[in-house]
Amino acid sequence: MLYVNQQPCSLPARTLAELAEALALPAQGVALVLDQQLLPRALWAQTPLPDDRDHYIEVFQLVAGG
Amino acid sequence: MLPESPFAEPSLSDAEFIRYSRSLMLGEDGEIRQLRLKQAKVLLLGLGGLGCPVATTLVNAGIGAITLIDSDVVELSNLPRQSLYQTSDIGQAKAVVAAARLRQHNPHPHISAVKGRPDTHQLSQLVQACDLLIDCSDNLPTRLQLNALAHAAGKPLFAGAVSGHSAQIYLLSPATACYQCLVDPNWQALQNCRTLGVDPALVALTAQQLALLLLQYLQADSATRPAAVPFGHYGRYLAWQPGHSSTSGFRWYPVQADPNCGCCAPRDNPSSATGV
Repeated sequence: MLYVNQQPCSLPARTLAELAEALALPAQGVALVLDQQLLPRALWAQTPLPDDRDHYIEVFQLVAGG
Repeated sequence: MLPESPFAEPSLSDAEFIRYSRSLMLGEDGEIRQLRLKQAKVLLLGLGGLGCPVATTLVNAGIGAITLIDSDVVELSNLPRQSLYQTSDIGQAKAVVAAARLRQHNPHPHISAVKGRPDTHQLSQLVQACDLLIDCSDNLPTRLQLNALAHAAGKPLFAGAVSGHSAQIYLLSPATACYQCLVDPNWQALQNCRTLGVDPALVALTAQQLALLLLQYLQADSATRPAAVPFGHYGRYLAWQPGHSSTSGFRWYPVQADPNCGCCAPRDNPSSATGV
């Protein structure tokens, strides 16, 4: 089971990139945390989400103000 | 043993002993920690809602030297968050006003003000002269530039970012992932205070969290300093939500490096890392 921002998520996704697409995340300015690890977008396509265990994903907007 | 510094003798004056007496009481090594802070030289870019309180805390705590950079002038809309400025300062250069007010707070630190926008060469020289960089800027190009300069110079980067109801901190060193690993340099939809607004209390909270980490790092001895703060981590503030009490506070995430990052990835020609 996938949990996105603490909510169960039933979207089909084999990788983080597929999940980002299914969630319709914007192409820029979004951070994705998988099981406590913040992963660069460049690694999303090669990061699998095997369904033999739960995965906890956090999505948040990067900000640049000061 | 303390490193040599042109800015301060490795001792405290009587006036400094009295001024910092409450800090000196914090453990048996209070004096040596205060002396390490007195030897420290930092570069702070951005004197807005984050930069004002960070600079104030560092100067009041007794930092040795701080260089302040901001090319903006004080505006009326700054005043709710930027406590170094007063209504009568509107239209004046932030860096100059902030430096003057900080000197009134504490005459001991060496405070420099850069009110224009230094070019990359000038900024590189300022980076070389400091122990670490503090990014409190309000735009992506500046953040990417400081990230690249810090990485090229081998200096730690302490950064805060706030907009809307979001607050984030990232702590990077040459041994960790860099900011550009996470952020597309061509990111156009800038999320800053001008576009999203900002919560004044959240700005203050984030600034003091950043200042606390800076003091922890600068007052640690050389052996424990690398582990004094969570380098290679990105933190974000999670507001209290009813029914989710475990999610409030700052949450830290280790950042995995992008092996093909245009800034920090190993390459044959490392000098290209500063090409911002």
